Amino acid sequence: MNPQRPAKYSLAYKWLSYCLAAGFIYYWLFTLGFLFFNKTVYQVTPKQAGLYQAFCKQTWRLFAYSTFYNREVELVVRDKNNPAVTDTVHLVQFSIARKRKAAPFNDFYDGFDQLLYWMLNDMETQLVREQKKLKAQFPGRQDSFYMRQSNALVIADSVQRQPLQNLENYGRYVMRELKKDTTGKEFQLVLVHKFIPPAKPAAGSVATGNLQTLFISSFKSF
Amino acid sequence: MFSINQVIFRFQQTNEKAFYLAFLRVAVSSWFLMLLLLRWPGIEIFYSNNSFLQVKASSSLYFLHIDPVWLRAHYMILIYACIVLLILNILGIGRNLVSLGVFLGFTLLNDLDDRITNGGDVMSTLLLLYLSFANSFSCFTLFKRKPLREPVEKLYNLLSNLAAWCIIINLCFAYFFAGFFKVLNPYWQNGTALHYFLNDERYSVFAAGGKYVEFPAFFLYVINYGTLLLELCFPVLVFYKKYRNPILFTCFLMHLGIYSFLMVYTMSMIFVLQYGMFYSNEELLYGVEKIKAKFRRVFSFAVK
Repeated sequence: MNPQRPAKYSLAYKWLSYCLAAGFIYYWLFTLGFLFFNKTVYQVTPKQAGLYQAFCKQTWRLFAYSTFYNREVELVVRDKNNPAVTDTVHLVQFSIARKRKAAPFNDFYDGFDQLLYWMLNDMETQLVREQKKLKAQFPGRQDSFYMRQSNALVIADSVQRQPLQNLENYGRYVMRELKKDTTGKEFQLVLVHKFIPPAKPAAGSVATGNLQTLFISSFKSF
Repeated sequence: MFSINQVIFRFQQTNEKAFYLAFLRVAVSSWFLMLLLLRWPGIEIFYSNNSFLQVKASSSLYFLHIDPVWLRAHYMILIYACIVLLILNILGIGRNLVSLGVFLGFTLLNDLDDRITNGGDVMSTLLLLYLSFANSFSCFTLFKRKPLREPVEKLYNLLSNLAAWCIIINLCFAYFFAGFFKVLNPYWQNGTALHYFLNDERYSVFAAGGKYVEFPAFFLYVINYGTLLLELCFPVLVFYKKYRNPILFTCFLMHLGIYSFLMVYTMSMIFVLQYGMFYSNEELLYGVEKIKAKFRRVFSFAVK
């Protein structure tokens, strides 16, 4: 037996142990740094931050922010030949009702609900972006002006059509699920915020009572 | 006071959470298998290129130089691979390699469409990462594990114990920072946050169909400030034996409330599943023996 060999191996294992312990401490220090100084960490160590974000994602702000309104997307359907007669499908309520019915084994419907939530986020982000540009360009106008103009810009935007297209496709999907006949019909999407009392829409916004309208699309065929 | 050397020496001696790591491996893998099966009807919509809903993949895929369009074109291969790996992981076949494969598979799947994932999915994927480094194969395996040579076994024990502590620290941080960021929010400060959560139609069973509900102010304040206190004190009190059971039980009640009234299922289950990590191997095995003995007594008529 070579007496040197066990000593070399035990030295290697000792240093490997120190490396593991150091890696453990570094990982948690990095986590804390990433949590509080996200932008700085990205600037200083972009590759490590990218790897961390790819493999070690975590949600640290659970239930930290409450929302003061419930969102609704109204799918207003009308006959092309008889536009006075309309039918309304509440897309968000439809999604929530399915989720509730299948609870607690509702991961499929919960996935859809999450998708709808993010589609609405994308849509509202686009609307807010357009409204900011309009307010910079045309300051001091009424909120209804900014709402109408931003709606028109979003509808006419041929480059960033995805959020609106996703919502329209989702509306078509819901009509198929509800087995409603869409022959000879057209639809319009209306995005609404229903404020939870005592919260209420900002003064001057396009609102009736606690209902604030954000977006009204033009009618289009199914 | 302890030194790094003492901690390393202690962690090398034995896998301190052997039983519960094994239980967690089986529980989390089974959970993921159930999740995949429940999401099966929507798999084409969530993951394929032909979905009527076009969702951008996570930027992490671009960072890892993986083409999301190519991955979406082969999403079924990824899903079948995840299912096979999950079954192997439940049986303990392939050990840490398979555990790592499960983690990587689900990371890719979540990145393909991170919009359908919730807080519970994110935390359970992170659990998979920690478990892929741990020795969770002491029990609940198809084939018994053969111990490694002494120095390698010691390293494995160290790695396993560090992974177990990652799970424990992760849970403590999750509670503490949830409470910390709540405290910074003015609505949690003035006690009105819970009122809005209970009227959030997406979650609250009370607000079903657009109903508006008002709870007594006293009830809202107690739950509001109680939640803040519980989350902020959790990482400290849970390590004292005197307070461990009461605090874990209180947290369990909190999650039961969230599960029952706010329809947040995955997250509640994943949090509660990790509570066993705060007990030692001996305490858990003693508890298991007591339960077995009780079952033997209750069902002794079947044996006679």
